[in-house]
Amino acid sequence: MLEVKNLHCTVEGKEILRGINLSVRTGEVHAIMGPNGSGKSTFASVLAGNQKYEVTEGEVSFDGMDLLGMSIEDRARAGLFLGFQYPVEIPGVSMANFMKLAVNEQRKYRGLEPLSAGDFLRLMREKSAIVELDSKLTSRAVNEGFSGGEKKKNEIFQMAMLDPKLAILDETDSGLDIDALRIVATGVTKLHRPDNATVVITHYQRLLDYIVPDYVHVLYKGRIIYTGDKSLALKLEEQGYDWLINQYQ
Amino acid sequence: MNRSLEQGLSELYLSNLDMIGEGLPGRLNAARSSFLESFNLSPLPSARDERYRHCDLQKLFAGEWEHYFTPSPEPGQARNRLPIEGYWIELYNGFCPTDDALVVLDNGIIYGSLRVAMREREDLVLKYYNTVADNDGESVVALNSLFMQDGAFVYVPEGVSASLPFVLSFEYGTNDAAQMCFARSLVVVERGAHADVVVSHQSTDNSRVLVDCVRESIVADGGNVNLSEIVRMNGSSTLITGHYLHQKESSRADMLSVWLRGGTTRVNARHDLAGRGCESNFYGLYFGTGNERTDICMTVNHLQPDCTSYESVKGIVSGEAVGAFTGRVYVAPDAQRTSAFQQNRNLQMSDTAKVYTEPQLEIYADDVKCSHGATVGQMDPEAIYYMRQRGIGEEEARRLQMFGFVNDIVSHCPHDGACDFVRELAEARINEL
Amino acid sequence: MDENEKILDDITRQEYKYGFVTDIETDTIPKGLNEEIIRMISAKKGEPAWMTENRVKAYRQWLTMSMPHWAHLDIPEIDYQDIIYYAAPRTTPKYNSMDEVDPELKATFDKLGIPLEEQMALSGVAVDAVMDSVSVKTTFKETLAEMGIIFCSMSEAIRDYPDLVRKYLGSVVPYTDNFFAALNAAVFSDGSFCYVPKGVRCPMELSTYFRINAAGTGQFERTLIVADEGAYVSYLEGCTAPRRDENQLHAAVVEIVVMKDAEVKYSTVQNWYPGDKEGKGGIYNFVTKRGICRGENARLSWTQVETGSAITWKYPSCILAGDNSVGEFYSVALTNNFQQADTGTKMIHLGRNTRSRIVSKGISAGQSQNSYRGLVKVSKKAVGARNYSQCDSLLIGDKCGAHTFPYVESDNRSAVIEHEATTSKISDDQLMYCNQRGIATEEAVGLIVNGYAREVLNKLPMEFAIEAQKLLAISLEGSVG
Repeated sequence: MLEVKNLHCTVEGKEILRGINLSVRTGEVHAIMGPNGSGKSTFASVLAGNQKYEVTEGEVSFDGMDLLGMSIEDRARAGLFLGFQYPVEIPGVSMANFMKLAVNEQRKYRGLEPLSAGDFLRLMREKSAIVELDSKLTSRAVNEGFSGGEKKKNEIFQMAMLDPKLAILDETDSGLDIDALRIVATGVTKLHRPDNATVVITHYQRLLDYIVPDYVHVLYKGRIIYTGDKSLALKLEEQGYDWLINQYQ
Repeated sequence: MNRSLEQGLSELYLSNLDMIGEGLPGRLNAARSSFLESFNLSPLPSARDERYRHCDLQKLFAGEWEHYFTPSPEPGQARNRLPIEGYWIELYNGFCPTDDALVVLDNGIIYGSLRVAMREREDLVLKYYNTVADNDGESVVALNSLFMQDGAFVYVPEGVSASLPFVLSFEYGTNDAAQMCFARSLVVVERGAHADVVVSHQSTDNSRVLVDCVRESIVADGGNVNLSEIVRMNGSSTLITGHYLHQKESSRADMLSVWLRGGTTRVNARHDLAGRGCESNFYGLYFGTGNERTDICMTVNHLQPDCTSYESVKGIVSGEAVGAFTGRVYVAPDAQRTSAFQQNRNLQMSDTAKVYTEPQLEIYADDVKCSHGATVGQMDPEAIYYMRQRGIGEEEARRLQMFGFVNDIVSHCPHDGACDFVRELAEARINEL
Repeated sequence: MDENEKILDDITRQEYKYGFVTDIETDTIPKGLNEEIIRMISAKKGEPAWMTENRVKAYRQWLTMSMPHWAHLDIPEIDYQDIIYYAAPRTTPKYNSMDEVDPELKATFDKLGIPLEEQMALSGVAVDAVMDSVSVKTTFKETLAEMGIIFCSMSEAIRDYPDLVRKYLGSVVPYTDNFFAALNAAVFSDGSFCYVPKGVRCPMELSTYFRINAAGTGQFERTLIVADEGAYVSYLEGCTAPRRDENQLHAAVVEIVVMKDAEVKYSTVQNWYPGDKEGKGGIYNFVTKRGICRGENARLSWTQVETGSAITWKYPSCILAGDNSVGEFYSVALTNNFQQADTGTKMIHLGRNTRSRIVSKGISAGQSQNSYRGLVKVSKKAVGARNYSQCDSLLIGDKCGAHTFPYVESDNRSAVIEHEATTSKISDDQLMYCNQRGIATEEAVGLIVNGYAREVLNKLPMEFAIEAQKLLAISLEGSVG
């Protein structure tokens, strides 16, 4: 589904990603771990199309399409979802309006009729239950005045609404207490199906107790230096990254 | 130029004195000489006057302006009326077209032509008329008082709650020469009374009009007024408005003004919190495109203790438009436990547009919570990115953000019935940007 | 009680301690202002003809101007013919060694805590001391000269470095700028001049100490600082005056030129005599300070602690002409009794990606009036300009006023400008909390005020920060009833 080949990128002239190769097939869960500053969030942003980063080399194909040649919104409409580490607040724009527009833009892209108001509300109700999102929050402005935990739940709620083929979750577990973590993580698990795929970027093993990865990659200085199975995460939790980095060097 | 503008206007008044005063109370007409005097003492300000830096009245009044001292015939074409059920007062070029336009309801509510009210309820009207407007400080106000022949009058007696909104619909238009109009209104809400007032200023065609408009609103102890204003003037018009609101003890005013379009719009607004425990909330929104010029000058005077005021004015300017905001919060000595907030936020959409903002605090009491803020900026690129990641196109994301920007103003429309309409107007305006 | 608090405590009991008069022979000229007086001042200073002509031109310009009245100040009529425009300690010329300095004069500066002695070496501050109108001593000249840094009195600069002076004097504040700048350009008697050459970082703080001593005089000093490409200098200015019943006029001009990659920090602790508790006497402080960031990446930072003067009219400004240049303004202005202050800054963004930051903390007590007035202007060419302003006012007592008048003008759609201001009083809860921990109210107010002003005080060089902290406490004395 996602094929990343030798991806390089720079920000303000500084090279952050230095040749990433990654292949994600439908039905898989991948975890990307790595020390701070290794390029994890940058990788997610580049896939989403953030213009802050300049891709200098490499190719990415998504569902057979040239991802890098697509606009941010077309990537999203084609089924790529990024769960943001820091979801932005958009004052004055209600969640309901925002989601309605997003859902219908996606439907339009796929040649479907827009949802009726009733169907849309039903969908909102159904999906907000997945992450136990307070229905009051959906009547508020996007992320405005949400707590850290509510913002992350809101990301998963939106993921449920948009039903992406590939979800990339950037540190969705950061800043969550145990209950919120459980809700968010089980939400993601519920949304996982054999016909979609999930990439989680995380620092901690604890998220992977809920979301069991097929592959765990370690990113270091802009490259994937090691790939293992779920046991790798446990080992990293215990021993840190040093042994891997030493081995790499 | 041999003759000053002021001389010209004074002569216009003097040579039509009889016509102007006809059918109006003698003591009202007698008082006009003092307005002539104050108008002559303080000439029309030019851009050299600090307060009129962004709006040169000398230039705006210059040139040939026709002024009619009798009601003009109403325009034939269909008008874009507000879809609001209410007690309507319709004015054309400042006049109520029919001379019997004064309604007295069973509960004591009076509304209709100011001219007729002055004739039929002289004592009541003159008890309030010109008690609040700044005839000494603003020459345009003195000018309006000098030429005033008609206007809108609303009176809600003690303890009465008006069940429908009063709709003051001011329309302007002329089929030939450039025309100068004077518009006047007086709203009185007595003790414990409640009134909803919706004011509309609208040009009916593309002719050049210069409107000098003054509104006085008086809210007595425990009274409550909701005031919405919608301005839709054409690009060659000039609208100069003076809004004077006087609040007594424990009264409350909730206001919304939306300046959707116009040529040059100048607003002088003064809210006096003149009794203890008043509350005043003002939300304003203006749009500027092309060569439009909007210059809003607001003062909130905290004259007594324990009052609360909130003002939020937002603007979106593009093209070569000018948006200026000057806000002053004044807290008098001994007006303790004042709480005042004022903000002006602007989206500047082009390099040729200009934004000026001057929020001011002038505080002479110490037990106060006062703050203000002003920003000039553009769209938040992070928010645009976020929306695009959810599949919303860039143009749409920008529009959505602008809707969001204006939403917290229009959502405070104090009339439930008008809210959706105002929102639609604002959104339609955004779509033009 | 730690050392700082002890100092604070000692000092709180004091009145204006710089209010003494030095009995020193003064050379003055007759009262009044006319072309003849201007020429006389120029002649006394042995100036070249071009300088004399500059002065006369400025004087003629001044005659056509009138005093600005837009500020939120109540300024009594000033009789410009009733002022002595030149007063110098009699003993001239400049001293070569400390032994030659009039002992009275030396004692004066010692008393002010400005030892002109060689032990200054220990404190690492080079000082130019200006008494009344004339620079009496500049320390450390030789050390600085080795690095190519010029630090001397303006009179010397006109004599010894005429090319530099002609190139830069009046280039940032022309004599046509405003009424007081024109007056200053006509009658200025001395001041400091500083030039830091390309790539040189000035190793010590440079400092000018201004003192008005003689009665009936005005002080009109002129300061010019030029930091050439890549240079750095931190400059301090302090001011005091004797306690007198009459009002004295101080109309100074400071000009700063910052070239590419250079940085200038200018700090002021202004403690002119503020007048007595009834509002009698005190200095009228009408000052024009402006700097220009001429080249790319230039930085200019103004920090001021304003506690003195009966009336202050002062707006240290930055013209951000160079791309990526940065202007900063940090201010604490405290007014007590009958003092009036109208002070703030102007940030003029001309270059691309220029940034400015304004932090202003006003404190009003007694019956004083304290206003912040500031302009942020972003021109058409200033793509990517950013400004952030925070202006807070603190009120102590219910007879004073605190006012905020920001002006924001944007001609560029890429500008991001934010202004915020708050006005509040010291909360009863805060005082109660301090009282409960055994801190007396007056002390608590000092503590809270210092905390409130911390962000600005932290920008001052250390010695000045302590002095400023003490000053705030003294100035508030008697404000809590």
